[in-house]
Amino acid sequence: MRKTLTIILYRGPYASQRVDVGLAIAEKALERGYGVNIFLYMDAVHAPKKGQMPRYFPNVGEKLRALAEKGARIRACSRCAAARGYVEEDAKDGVYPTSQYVDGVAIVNLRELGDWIKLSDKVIVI
Amino acid sequence: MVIGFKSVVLVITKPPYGLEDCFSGLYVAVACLNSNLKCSVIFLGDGVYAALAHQNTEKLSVPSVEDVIYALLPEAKLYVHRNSLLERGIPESKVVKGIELINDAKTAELLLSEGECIITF
Repeated sequence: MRKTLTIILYRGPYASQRVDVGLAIAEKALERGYGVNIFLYMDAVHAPKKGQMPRYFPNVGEKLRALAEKGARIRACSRCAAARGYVEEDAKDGVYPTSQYVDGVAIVNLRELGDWIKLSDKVIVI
Repeated sequence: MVIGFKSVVLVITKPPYGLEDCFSGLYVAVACLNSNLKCSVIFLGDGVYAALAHQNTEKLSVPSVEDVIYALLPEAKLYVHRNSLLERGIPESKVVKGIELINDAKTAELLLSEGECIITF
């Protein structure tokens, strides 16, 4: 039976290494056969922004896109994303459209995190 | 079939204003309740300031964390760490009614018995 890991990230990218560490854990968990959920909360909703060009650090947005391609479910909190200018329209089928995020990341209500936690085997907050 | 968690303990360690952590942490507790998870919240360290009654945020122009606490009670069990209050010189009488004061031993017991999933903000 496949186990599920939920990772809650709540600090922004680059200002600290927290997001990088969380995404490294996600990558290893996927390699080990876990189902991986990544919930972006508070300033972590900046992490999937398109067009990041970090000169000295790995590109966090690209890492998220690649993780989504490998099967990670990645969602950002709608309240946090709206406050930071990423929500552009009302929700359609529970997803708030944005043109500003890399592929594979969707903006949803925080309620989804409650359901994720309920169905997870492990939860890590970083 | 995924078994998952039945109970969650939120540990709030940050003060209620000046940082988003406490407010957003309590909203995770609301989300957990909405998903029918048994939910406990422990206010610890500077988090105890969030448990004080009669918070007035009018001049701050931010929502009151106390209002979120009332939204959680009584479905969620809320606790405040007594030693954290003492260390900050806060009288126990200042705490919102309905929040239980707990000592170190009870805090540990709660984390062990209810903390299938522990989330700290």
